Amino acid sequence: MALFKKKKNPEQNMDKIELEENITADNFTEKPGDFEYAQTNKSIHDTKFQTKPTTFMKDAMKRFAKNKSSVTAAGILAVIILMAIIVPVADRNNIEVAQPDLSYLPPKWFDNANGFMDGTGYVSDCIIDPDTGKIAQKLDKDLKKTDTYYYMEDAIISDKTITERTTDILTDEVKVYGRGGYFNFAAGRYLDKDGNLSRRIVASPEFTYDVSDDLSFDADYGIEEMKGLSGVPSLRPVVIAYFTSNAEIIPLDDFAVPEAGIVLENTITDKIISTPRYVSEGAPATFKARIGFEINNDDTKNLDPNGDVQRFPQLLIEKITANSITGAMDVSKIGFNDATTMLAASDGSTWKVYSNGSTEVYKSKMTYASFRYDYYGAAFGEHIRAVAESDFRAWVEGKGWGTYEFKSHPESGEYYGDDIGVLVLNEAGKEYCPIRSVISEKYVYSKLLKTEIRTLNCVVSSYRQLYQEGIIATNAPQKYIFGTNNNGWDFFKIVFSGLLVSLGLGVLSMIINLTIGLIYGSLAGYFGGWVDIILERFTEILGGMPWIVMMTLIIILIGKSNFWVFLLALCITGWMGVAGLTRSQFYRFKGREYVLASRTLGASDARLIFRHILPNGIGTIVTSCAFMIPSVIFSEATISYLLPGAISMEVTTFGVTLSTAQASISSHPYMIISASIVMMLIMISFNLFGNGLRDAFNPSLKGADE
Amino acid sequence: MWKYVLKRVVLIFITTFIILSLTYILLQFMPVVSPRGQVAAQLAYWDEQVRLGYYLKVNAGVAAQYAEKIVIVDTNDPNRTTYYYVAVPALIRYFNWLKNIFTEWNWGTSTAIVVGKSAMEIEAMRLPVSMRLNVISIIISVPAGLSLGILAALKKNTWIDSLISTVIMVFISIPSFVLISFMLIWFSYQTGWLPTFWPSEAMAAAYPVRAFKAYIIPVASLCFGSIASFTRYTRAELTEVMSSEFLLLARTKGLTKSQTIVRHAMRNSMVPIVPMIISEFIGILSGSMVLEQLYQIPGVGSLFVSALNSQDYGVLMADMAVYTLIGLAATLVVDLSYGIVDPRIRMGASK
Repeated sequence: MALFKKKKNPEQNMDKIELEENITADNFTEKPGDFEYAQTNKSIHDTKFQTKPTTFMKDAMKRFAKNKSSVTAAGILAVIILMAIIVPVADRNNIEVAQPDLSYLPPKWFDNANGFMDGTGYVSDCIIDPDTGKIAQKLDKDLKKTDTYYYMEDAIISDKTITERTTDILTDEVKVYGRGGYFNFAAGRYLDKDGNLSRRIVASPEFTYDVSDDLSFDADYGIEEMKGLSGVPSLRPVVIAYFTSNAEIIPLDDFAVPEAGIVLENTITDKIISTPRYVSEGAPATFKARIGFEINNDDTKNLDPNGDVQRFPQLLIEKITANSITGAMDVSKIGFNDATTMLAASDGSTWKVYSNGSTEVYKSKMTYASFRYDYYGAAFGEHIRAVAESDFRAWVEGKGWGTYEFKSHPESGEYYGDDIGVLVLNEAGKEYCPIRSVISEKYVYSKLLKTEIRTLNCVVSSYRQLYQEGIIATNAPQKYIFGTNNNGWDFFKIVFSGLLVSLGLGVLSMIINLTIGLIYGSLAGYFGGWVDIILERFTEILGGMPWIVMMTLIIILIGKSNFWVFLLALCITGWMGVAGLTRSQFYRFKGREYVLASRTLGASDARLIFRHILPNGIGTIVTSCAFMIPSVIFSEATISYLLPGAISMEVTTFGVTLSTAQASISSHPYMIISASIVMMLIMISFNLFGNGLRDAFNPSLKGADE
Repeated sequence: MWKYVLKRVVLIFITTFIILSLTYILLQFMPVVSPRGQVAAQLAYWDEQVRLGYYLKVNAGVAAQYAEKIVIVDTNDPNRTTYYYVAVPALIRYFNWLKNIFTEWNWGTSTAIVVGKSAMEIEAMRLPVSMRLNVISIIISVPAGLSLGILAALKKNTWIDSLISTVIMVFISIPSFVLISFMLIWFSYQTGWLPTFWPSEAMAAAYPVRAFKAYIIPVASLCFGSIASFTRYTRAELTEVMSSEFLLLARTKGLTKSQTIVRHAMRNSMVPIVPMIISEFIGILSGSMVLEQLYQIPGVGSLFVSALNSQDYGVLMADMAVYTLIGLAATLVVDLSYGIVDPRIRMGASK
């Protein structure tokens, strides 16, 4: 109000002066009463504003606070960012050492929730070992059964539904756990250059043929037609022989012709393939031989567009019995009862297909079980394990958790029950000791130490052991709310550790982009003219290159991809948006009257830029910064996802986490689901937050593109 | 007008030229990659490089002087002959590259994607799939986006509007790979309704139903994004026009509400939307990298990614040329279409 009065008074004086024109400075003399003080009873000075003074920022904050969705989004964002900072530190689950026992645990939120997020899962078709009727053991490289099982029998929490199915593919599991089925081999289907079918011979393991003896040969076989066969295929059993007298091994193909070896009867009845009748002349009394079949395809007229025979029969042999009539020949290797076992055998007793073919199995029987499985019970529960004496002592005596008296002796066998001591645990031991009780003691030869060492079969509590080894955070069965990954690492921690790196990238690149963009845009916008033209062409060219190429080029050129290289790659084109925005803001404000006024008063360029123009345009620029962080996270995620080959990141960002989770989408979808939900929350919150900021800073734009 | 168009077209070619030149020169600093495959094919490739003027065939003595940018091809023949190729300086390679493009349209030979095939041929081979997907998605998304936007604008501040706006917000915020992952989990892996990857041509011919089903996830993922942005813009534009004075005038003249909307509001709100639709049509030539990579679609987008991952620089350059041209052409066409849709806007006009 005071301001108003002051302004008015001089105007009134001016009027007076104009009216009394005859009074000039020269003839003016002051008489008493000409002037008198107005408001002599008051001291005149600025009075305080009745309203609270406000700034542009405070005003914007007030408008922002009114926008409910944006405030909610800001709250969610704050929570996520806080979690990204806190979780990697507070969650002390180990994510450095691979822990196969904990791998791929599904998310667990509740106990006993009947299948909903309770860490259990329905396992369908787990292989059953036909010998024991229990869950099969995993196999090592030599197809030997190992100590680990596909699933633990004691963590199965429902009845097993047993199904039997057949398979035609001889995988490692089928080789060991498959039974029965047929040995399958197909007639040739490719024509050679003369138009003849390639010959297909299947032959037994090698045995010593005695000419004085006779062989009776019995095969259970069937013929399966492929694509409907017209006519009956001809099946020709042959003996393929090696004459070893001249130390020359003649190729099998050549030996299939009758003159060179022995031909079995050239007809097949329903079941029995009879004894050989013909021995070629000049054969020695004994020679190494194989017995086999040649299967022919009579239907060579119908060809497919590739020039191959369309229809061809397959010979399926279930079992073969071979008998030596006089007993002079050892033919035990020829026969087999179980086609799958025969094919899987590695001791040379396998029948093989010669002339470009492979051994195949047909309808091998596999037994599977389906059941509900408690993954967390298996990972953290109590299991019987063998513990070496040194380890046992380290736990029980080393930590002072209890006492135990060893009783077994090297020369005797296994000790049970009353023959062994009783493990007595004290209070701390009951809480922390991984070994709960001892079942038996015995001496086992250690290959490493080359001596017999005492080994105890103990009930071991897995979660206590994992806690003592520093793998899990607390001395209790864990609940991983996002599950675990292939290494058995807490995915919750991985997601938020990655997010921290990505947020760091986002914030740092925002700061850098803002700095460069502001300077660049100010220069272009403020000075205009040829400076603007040159700077604009530069950004146009840099911006015209696909950003994904730019980023990849930088990462490949520098040769490694740590945090800083990635930051550089994100910043090299990222500042252009801010620069463009700043430039347009400068164009908008630099012609305004207050700028002109300030310039007339002699303000320097720097003062004009930083005191007058920039503060006016800052609202728009701040808004664009809010959108910049999610776009950096998004770019980073996309590039880590798209180009895992070109960019093998040395740090785990959120994008890397997403991309590895995506790789196991079919087998373990819970990881990509949880990571995606976090990503979605961040993106939606940032967008709502940014919209709120924009509305707050530029009320005129409200709802412009919602 | 024509002068302006001509100026812009010339500028597009100049910008493309500079971008490609820069990329080419930058790529020359990358490690040399020999084509995959047999020794004979490798020798043929390098001899072709010599013919095109990028490399020189030298003997062992000369080769020993060069530590880098040298290619050694060991043959397995009885003499075990070794061939050495040394790169000529990058700038000369660059000029030879320009010469080869302008004289014989030779963009290089693929070293990894389809070994020995010319890069532009591969590009042409990959285009149809991407184009087909894009066309289908435009046919669906333009009408859907426009009608949803109009619906939201007409029912402004009702539950329909808030529902549409919320859903649009969610779809704009979700990264495409997240969306595709969810669709893959639910519709392919969990329920088995849809295939989990794009069938090959032979498979598509054998199982037409499966081939048809394979379109659903890619088209849906392409549609969601563009439907969301169309709806958003249509709603924003239409609400702005609806509150303008000339619409009030039309109502006071005695037009019914539907007449004002169709004749006045819609036409005016289409001004910024038609260029968007036109730019979508230009964009059918480019493929979505994320989608094509995720769903194993053999289009131009996945070509770019696999070329980058397998360091097939010839194909990369050809793909980039196409992408850059499409991008710049799209901006030009959008700028021009403003003038066509709304005669008041004259692009490039001086004050």
